[in-house]
Parts: sequence; C-alpha cells; structure tokens
Amino acid sequence: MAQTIFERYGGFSTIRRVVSDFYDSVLDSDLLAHHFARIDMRELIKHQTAFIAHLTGGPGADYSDEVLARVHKDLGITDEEFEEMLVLLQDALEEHSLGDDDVAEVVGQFRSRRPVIVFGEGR
Amino acid sequence: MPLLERDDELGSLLATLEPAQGGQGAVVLVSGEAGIGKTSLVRAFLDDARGRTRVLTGACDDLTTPRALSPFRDMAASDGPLERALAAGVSRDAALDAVREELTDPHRVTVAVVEDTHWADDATLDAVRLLGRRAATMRLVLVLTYRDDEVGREDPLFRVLGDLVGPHVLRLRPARLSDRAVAGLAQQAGLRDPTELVRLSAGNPFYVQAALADPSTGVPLTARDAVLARLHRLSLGAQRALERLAVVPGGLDSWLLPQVLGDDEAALTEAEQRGLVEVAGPTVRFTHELVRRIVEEDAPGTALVRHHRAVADALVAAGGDPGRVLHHAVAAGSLEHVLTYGPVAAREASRLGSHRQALISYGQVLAHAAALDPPVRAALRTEQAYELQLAGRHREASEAAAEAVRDWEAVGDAGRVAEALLVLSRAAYFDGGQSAARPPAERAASVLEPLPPSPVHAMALAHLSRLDMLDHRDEEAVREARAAIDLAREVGHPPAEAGALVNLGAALLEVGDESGLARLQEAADLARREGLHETGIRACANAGAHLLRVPRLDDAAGWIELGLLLAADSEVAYGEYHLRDLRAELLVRRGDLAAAEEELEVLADPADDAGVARARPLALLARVLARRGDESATDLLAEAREVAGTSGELFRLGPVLAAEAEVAWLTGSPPPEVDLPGRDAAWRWFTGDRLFHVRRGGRAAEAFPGCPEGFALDLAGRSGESAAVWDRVGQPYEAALARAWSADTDEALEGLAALDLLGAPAASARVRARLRAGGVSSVPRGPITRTRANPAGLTDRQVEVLRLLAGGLTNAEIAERLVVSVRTVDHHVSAVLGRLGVGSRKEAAVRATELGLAS
Repeated sequence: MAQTIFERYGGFSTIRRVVSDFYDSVLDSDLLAHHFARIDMRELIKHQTAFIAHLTGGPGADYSDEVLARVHKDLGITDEEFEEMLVLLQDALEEHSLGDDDVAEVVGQFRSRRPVIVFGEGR
Repeated sequence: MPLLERDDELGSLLATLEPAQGGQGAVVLVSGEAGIGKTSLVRAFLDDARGRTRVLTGACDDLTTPRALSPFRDMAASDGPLERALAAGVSRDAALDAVREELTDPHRVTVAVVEDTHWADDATLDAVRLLGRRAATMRLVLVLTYRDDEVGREDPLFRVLGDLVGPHVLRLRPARLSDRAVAGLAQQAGLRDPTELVRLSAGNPFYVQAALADPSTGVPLTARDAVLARLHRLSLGAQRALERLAVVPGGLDSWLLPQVLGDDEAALTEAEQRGLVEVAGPTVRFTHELVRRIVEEDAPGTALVRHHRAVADALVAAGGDPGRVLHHAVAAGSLEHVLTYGPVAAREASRLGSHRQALISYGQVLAHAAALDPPVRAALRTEQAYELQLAGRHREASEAAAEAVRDWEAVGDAGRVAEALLVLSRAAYFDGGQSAARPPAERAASVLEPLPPSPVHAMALAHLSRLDMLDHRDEEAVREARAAIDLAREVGHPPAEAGALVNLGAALLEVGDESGLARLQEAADLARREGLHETGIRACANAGAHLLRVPRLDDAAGWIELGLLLAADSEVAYGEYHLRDLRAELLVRRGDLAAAEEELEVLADPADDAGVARARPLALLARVLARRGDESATDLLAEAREVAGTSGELFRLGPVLAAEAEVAWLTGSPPPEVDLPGRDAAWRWFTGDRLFHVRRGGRAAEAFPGCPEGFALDLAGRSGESAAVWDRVGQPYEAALARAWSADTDEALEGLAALDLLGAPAASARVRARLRAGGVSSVPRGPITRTRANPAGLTDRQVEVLRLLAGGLTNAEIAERLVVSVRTVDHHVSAVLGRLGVGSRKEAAVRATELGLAS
C-alpha cells in the first residue's frame, strides 16, 4: 500500500505545525481575523488537526458537509475570504516542505467544500 | 407578588439576546434553594423576550423514572424533528442531533428553558452538555434552573454543569430578599407587625408569597402552615381534587382530569382562584412544586396509593408515557402495569442513553421475576446485566448475567446463552480479572462453534482476543482477532470487526510489528463511519499509549487529542479518564510541569471515583510535586501504592515503582531495591525510568534487554548520548538529568541550568549538592525560581486564584475569569488553603493581604 501524505511528511507533528502556522497567519490577516474574535483557538486547532490528518489519509476526524454547513452558516464567510484562507493554507503547507502535488491535493480538498463554508455575500 | 430585587439578574438575562442574534448564544444557569424565585425570574425574562424570540419551555419532573429527554419532549413541535426521531425509535446519537435541530431556528433566536434540571434523566444531561458547549456558536439562549441544595458533588448534574466553561456561560444565583423589601411587602399587605414576616421568611420569596396570600390570618410559622391553611379553607371537593393532583409531579394533562378527578374536577376552579393551581398550556399543575409537595405530604398514605392507581389507570387508558405509568404503578403496587410498562420504559431509556433510569426500571420489573415468562425474564436480565456493567456495578452485573445464562439454558436457546455468557465475562473481568473472565468467554465460543456463523460468534472471538491481549498472550490474541475480523465481515457485523481490529493492532504493536498502527487507524475509521464511539476511543488510547513508549511524543499527542475529540464530539465519557491520564503523562514527559500538575490534581481527586485507575495519576503527581520540593509527594505516593496494590496489575504498578525511585532520590531517602522487568512495553518503559532514578539515588543499576534507549545509555554511563536521545525525543527533564551526571563539568553545569529553567527546584538542589560534593567549585547559586519568588510557595496560577479569591469572587466567578472549569478552581483553592495553612477563604484573604498579594 502506497504511503499516505500523512505518513510521508511525519504524521501528527507536521500536521499540527502546519495547522498552528496556518492559524497564526489567519489571525494576522485583516480580512479573516474578525471571524475568530470569540473562538477558542486551542479547540479549533485540535479540530482542524484531526480534520487535515483525516484528509491526508491519517487517523483523524471526518466532518460531513452537513456538519461543516451547520457550523459555518451564521458566520457569513465571503468568497473573497475563502480564497484568502486557501492562499494562507497553501503557504503553510509549502513552508513545511510538502510537494506541489500534495499541497494541491490538500488545498483541493478544502476548495471542494466551498459550498458548505461560504454563505456570505461577496463585496 | 411583584418581582423584587432581580434587576441585575434580569438585565444579565436580557443582555444575552443581542449576541445570540448574531450567532453567539449563551447558557444561563439559574440556581438557588427551593422557593428563592428561579422560575419567577425566568418568567419575567420570557415575558420580555417572547415577542422577539422563539420561546420553548420544558421541565424535569420528580419521578422515580423520568422519561428520557422529557424536557425536550415538552419543547418539541408536533411532527418536528425530535418527535419524528423518537417515534422512529432512533438511538441516542440521532436523538441528540434531533434535539439540536429542534432548538435551531434559522431566522430567530431560540430561548429554551429547562426547569428543575436537578431531576434530569441521563439523556437530558447528555443533551444539556452538548447544547451547553455548542450554544456559543448557535442562535440559542439555553436557560437551566436547578436547586443547588439538591445537587451533591457526586451528582452527575454537578459534573455536567461544572464542566461548562467559557465566556458564553452565565451563572445566576438569585439572593434572598432584603429585609427592606420584605417589610415593604408586609406593609403593603397591611400587616400590623412587618418585622415578624421579615424574621420568619428569612427573605425566601415563596414563603413571603404564601404568607401574604391571606394576610387576615396573621403570619404563619412556616410556608407549610401557610399553604395548609389555604388548602383547608377550600371546599371538600377541591381538597380531594388537589390531593389527587398532588401525586402527579409536573401536573396533569387537562384531558386526563375527568378520569383522575371524577366529579371533583369542577372544584379545581376554586383552587385556581386561591392561587394554588394554574393552567400552563395543556397542563394543570400546582403554582409551585413546593405546594405540590406540601399537599402530598399532608395526605394519608392509603389515599396516595389509591390516587396513584387511578392515575396509572388513566394514563394506561390514554396510552401515556411508559415512564410515568411505571412511576404510578410502582407506587400503587399495580403488578400488571409494572410488568407491561416496565420493560418498555427500561428499553427506551437504555436506547436513548438514560442509563440510571433504565437500571431503575429494570430493577422495578425484575423485582417480580417469578411473575415473568422465562424468555422475557432472561432477555430482561441480560439487558440489566449490560446496563449494570455500563454503570460500573460489575459484581451485580456478573450476578444478573449468571442468572440470565441459567434462564436461557432453561429456555434452550444456545445463541442467547452465549450472548449472556459474553456479558458475564466482560463484567467478571472487571470484578475478578482474567481468571473470572476466561471460563465464560471460552464457554461462549464453544457453545457457538457448532452453530452457523453469527454476529455473536464474531463478538465472542473478538472478546477472547481482547482478554488474551490484556494478558500479554499476544500470538493468541492476533490469531483470534483475525478470526473475529473474518467472521464479522462474513456476517456483516461492524462492531465486532472494529473491536477485533483494535485488539489486533494493539497485540501486533506489542510484538514489535508496527503495522499494528495501521490496524488501529482502520479500526478508528470504521468506528467513525459506524458511530461506534467507544471502539474509536479505544483505538486512539491504544495507539497513544504505544507511541508514548516508542517514544514518539508528537504522534502520541495526535492520537490522544483525537481520542479526546471523539469523546467530546460524541458526548461519550468512555475512556476519557484514561486519555486524560495519558495526556498528563505526556505533559510531564515534555517538561510542562505546571500544566501537568493542574491536570493531575483533577485526575487524582478521590471525588472522581476512578477506582484503581487513580494509581497512575497519583504516582505522576507525586513526582511532579517532589520535583518542586512539595512535601505532600510522599503521602501521595503511599496512596498510589495502596491503590495500585489492590489491582495487582503491572500496568498500574510500573508507574508507581518508577515514582518511588524518583521521589526517594529527591527526598534523600535510600533508593529502592531493583527487580526484574516484566513483559510488556509499558513495564519496560517504567522499569527503565525507575532504574534511571535508582542510579540518581546512588545505587548501581544496569540496563536490561529491551530497556528504552535513553535510559539504557544513561545507565551505561554514556551521559552525552543519552541526553541527545532525550533532546530528540523531546523530554527536557530527562535530558537535563542525563547531562548533570556527565563526567564533563561544563556539560553537567549545562544540565543544572536546564533543570533550573524547568522549575524543578528540588532536583536542582540535589544536583547542586552532588556537584559540590564532587569538588566542582564553580556551581552557581542558581536563579531565584518562580516558586521562591512567591513567599508562600505558591505557583503563579495559585497566586492569581488567591488574588481573585481575596477580591471576594466565588469559585464560579474565578472560573469564568480564568476561563477554566469550576472543578479546576476548586482544586486550586484547596491547594492554596493547604499551602497557606489556613482553614477558610476568609483566612486566606487575610493572609493574602499580609503577603502583599491582595490589592
């Protein structure tokens, strides 16, 4: 069986660092930071680590479209914000030396969930 | 009576609505003694909120077997998500989802009120825990009222509410009315001597209201006198009607009134005019639960039995709630109703996760075991045994399962005999260990052998593989697990498949086959898809425990956090203690001693009732405290030894022995004797750990085959290489200690400096003394550590808690301020009191001022 992305890049320790760097840049982003004002970041990082671990073929948590829609519905995330998020995620993955194909795979997984994340009106 | 002195509370409640509109909901806990006015406060809030929000209300009732999710049933719209889910007979998870959906309105804020939460059934508590956590991101204001004088520390409600943490949690505790307010009411009512009412009421609004309902008769001595005086002035018909109504907690549906009250129904109007009963929606009930109780207590026992029978009959005729029927049937001694409705109530409760209530119902039915048909009795006993085991009552579970086995044998159903044997074996494992668990498990397998392939057979093989895995018979475990997986796939039984995958993975890892991790992941994935929460959590705990011994700490952390996440997301408490225990070990190993101490204090708390599992946290806590130089370490260690001794399991003893070696070194006691390592990876780890500290205590120790690398190198005197291993693993404390034993003075001093930074002053002091004794003249006096900077020897966190405590905050308020749970604050406060050597918060505040810590 071919190795998964999760295994190739060192398992949880890498994923955890990617997620943590990703949210550092999210909180630095003028466009995105306001969505996280009242969010418990430690909890969020745990959830996101488990989710990305799953998306990369590791042990993790799978969140159905229904669940993702439920938690994002009232946040009013716009297309522009979603695109920004993808860029920051791509940066974080590249910083941790994931290969281009693997970065594209992970970012693509997120991109495909746009309909259950973006509920806000574009500006 | 007007709502007095509740402006602040009402304001706080109303202030939740605007953020809730923006998707940032709240949980409001309204607590206080009976009659303090919790409901009045909530009603005033609802009167104001009603126009702008969707208001839903429900209540928990004082029944012996409250129906699962009863307050949410009250709230459910007809043909709404919850009603449909319950009618379809769904299981717990789907029912919880339906509750959440029921309380979600895309357009408006939902205000949901659960009254009398101290009587909640377990499924309701699950829903409260879930909503309590999710409300922060919902358009929901969840209001819970409860009597805190009815909630003990061991009550499940205490745990659920104590764990609710965050800025979205609001705790209101309406105070007693001031003397002035009571006197004002007394004067308005025309009482000649208002001070008497002030004195007798002690500010309890219920009493004041009862006393003022008929001021012409003067001030009664107690609220009870006041209520009874009013009751006895009613017509006989009305009194009879009230006496019957009083046996129905929560009130009676109005369409049942004719059956229960007969000709006296009309007389209720009189009671309503007197303010003793009220009509709320479809229900006729007493104006206050206390009124109901007073009337019930005043009635003769024989009359109550009659009334219960009438209510049970009426509910049966109307096809009513089985839990309610059972409550009244038991009180009335109506055997027929108990035997018919008991099983229905028990099974529904079990399915929806109301485990305590299910057990009560099973007990009520099986009290009449002789009256039941053998197959019915056998099935009920099997189910009861299963529930008893879930509740941790393993001895009783074994007994019930053994009776079920006998019953099924008499019926002649081999498959069911085997099923009961499996329940028996599981319960027996916890009650009597391997020797008790193995015979029934093996018998189950042999009973099933000649039968066609079945899910029970797959379960039996999976269970056997688990017993073998736990007994370190890894080859057998692997073989049985593989057979179980094949069979489970053949008959299509995912629970057996996932469980066997966990056993297979764990056994493979134990024999050094790393493909075991992939099996555990497979188990976790299957468990997730099938909603088998406990199996998924077990996979995570096994993987985490293994990775801690490899050691691969980051990956261990990933699995452990994943397990905790699964437990939290599914609202399952199973395995949570073990996972938190593993996480605490991880914190200790990473050198995060302050965070570890905080977590371990909670885990080691005897109130947690963790049984033998407390041995590990106690031992770890003793080590952490000993590193700080805290003298209580020795006592904790003795307790750990005692707790571990009762289990006789190496898994629990290993960490205790390692702790003994370290604490002995740190406290200057002679090092313990060295004995041989056991068989499994955990034992090898803790034995290496133990020898590492035995060496520190000055006794020669040698590495053994299979000794973990970092320990082995140190024992061989290769300090630098050992330290490098610990650096790579990520264990700074062990790295520092390895360096400190180096023959190279510079390297040893580097180790000492690292220890100082870690905040382990007792370890630093030992190392300093050793270096000086060894003739190293350049040993620095060392930095002033954080602990010494605070004169009373408190940690930074404890100082923070003390400051807030001295500022007059309650533990709940401190918890909110620090964004931690109330339970954690409880621990900090008792630690602070202990450290300051004072007996009360007041004295602590005085000491804080003396120490210059309070502003």
